[in-house]
Amino acid sequence: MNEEIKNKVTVINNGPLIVQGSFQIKGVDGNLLSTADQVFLCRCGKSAKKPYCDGSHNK
Amino acid sequence: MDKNERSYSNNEITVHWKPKECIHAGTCFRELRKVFDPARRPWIDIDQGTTEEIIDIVERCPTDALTYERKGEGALSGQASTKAPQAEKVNFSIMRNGPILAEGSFTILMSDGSEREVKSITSFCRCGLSKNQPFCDGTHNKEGFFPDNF
Repeated sequence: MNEEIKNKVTVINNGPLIVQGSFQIKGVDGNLLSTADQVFLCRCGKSAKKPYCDGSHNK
Repeated sequence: MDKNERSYSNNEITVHWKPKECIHAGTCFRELRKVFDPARRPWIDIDQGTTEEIIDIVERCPTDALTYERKGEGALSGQASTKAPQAEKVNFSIMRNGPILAEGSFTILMSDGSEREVKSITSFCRCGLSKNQPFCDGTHNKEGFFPDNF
């Protein structure tokens, strides 16, 4: 039996938000960016690939 | 009632401001700065826009931080303070020069291992400056933040 997928956002200490489950991510113009099962979102403001994390927080 | 709540009236409507409800989505000041200016005191100057412009913005505030009532309608005031129900799917909207607006029902696993349930709406800090991590506290407005590059 399939377990129901729980929509979950994990806050990584000194790192990104990990978004898992049934999410829709829309950009600043309302355009659809992603419906992937798992995305990493920048929360430090330094990523060159915003809104996604690119690891820049480690620098 | 929160002592920080304020009401502003023109001849036709009264706009109510509840700062504790605000999640800093920023729709108000980005789209109608002449009325909603966080750098001004008081930050709402209801005489700087038309009633129609102001109602349009208040209705698009994602929370009940901004609500309005028409003069003389009294009992109907609640109508404006009930925002549209949230969709079942979780929607994350990246706000220009602002936070991630998260609408829907989901679980947040905090960095200390605790869990928080979100039932309707919250906003996540995207600039790294909020003192209420991982949530937005509006600090990006004071610090300027940066242009989006996507």
